[in-house]
Amino acid sequence: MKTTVHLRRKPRQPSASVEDILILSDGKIMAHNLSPRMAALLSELSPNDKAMRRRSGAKTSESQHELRART
Amino acid sequence: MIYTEKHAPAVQWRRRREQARARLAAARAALSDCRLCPHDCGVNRLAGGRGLCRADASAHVFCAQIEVGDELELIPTFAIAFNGCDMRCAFCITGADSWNASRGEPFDAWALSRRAEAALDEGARTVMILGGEPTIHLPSVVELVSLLPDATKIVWKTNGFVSTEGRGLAEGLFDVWLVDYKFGNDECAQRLAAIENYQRPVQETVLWAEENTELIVRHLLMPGHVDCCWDSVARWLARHLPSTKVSLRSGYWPAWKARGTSELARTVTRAEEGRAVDIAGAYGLHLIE
Repeated sequence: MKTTVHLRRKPRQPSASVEDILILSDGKIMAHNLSPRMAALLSELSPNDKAMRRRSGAKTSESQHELRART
Repeated sequence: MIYTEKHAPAVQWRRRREQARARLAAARAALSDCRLCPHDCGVNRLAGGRGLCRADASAHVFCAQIEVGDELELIPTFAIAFNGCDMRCAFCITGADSWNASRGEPFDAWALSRRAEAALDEGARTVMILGGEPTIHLPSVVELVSLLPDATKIVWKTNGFVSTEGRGLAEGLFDVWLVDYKFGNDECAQRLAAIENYQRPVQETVLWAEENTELIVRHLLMPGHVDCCWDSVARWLARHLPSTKVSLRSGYWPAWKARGTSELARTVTRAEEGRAVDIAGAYGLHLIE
């Protein structure tokens, strides 16, 4: 059976983060507005995904920044 | 390091904020007879008029955050997305925000510049300005640029559907033009994005950007459009800009109005993806990730 999973993280505050993740039935993961934190998570879930690994390696202290943006 | 005149960031940075400040009044005045994009509406947005993009003189932002989904040489980027667009792509993944210029938070140049500065301090390599389509909000963008730190590497992510006037107001303000060249012919652009005469202005923008700044051309592969759109874009690039960086994106999924459109209601297959890469190879394009 063909299934896909579409996750959207969009808080009420537009200044906070927005991202869309689509997971296809064959395991392929696609993302839009990908945050560093989500890239790291997806890279852990799918360690053979080289593209995601490269993106998860592009680090910032994002968590601190997001907290600042929300307050 | 040897700087050429074309890519002279140290020189450009010193002048950018100054240029932006000097251009603020002209950019604002352009809204009184808006011809920032090739729709050439000529409406007075300062008086509340709205053209095809449905934007008045105010700008709104629906997203401002650090992202890593763009080209590797640009990430992490602090991406600032403006509401409103001059195109109506059925498959727009941010359609609700991009098609509605009045949604989102009211634009606050000072607050955004401070957030951008914080993001840069924390490791962001670039600040990316996008939409929707940011061209329709050039006066607000000019104001934002006038407040950003001089050394900021600013990426202008555009659909390329920009007029000569729009390009003139943007000249010298951005380090990288990331131009999304979406359609390989006017028929697909008309059918899928409600745009007439798409090719000419987008090609003019791409050629202009190559001449005046650093250029990356992006193309989002769409299902069933490898031959009519990608092959055509690739052939044109090979002919006119053979050494330009090209970012071929395969992450299309049916969003927004495309969910109800049989033509676009699926993702790109691995076979299509492979064929697209073969086309790029056959034309000798400089693909980047």
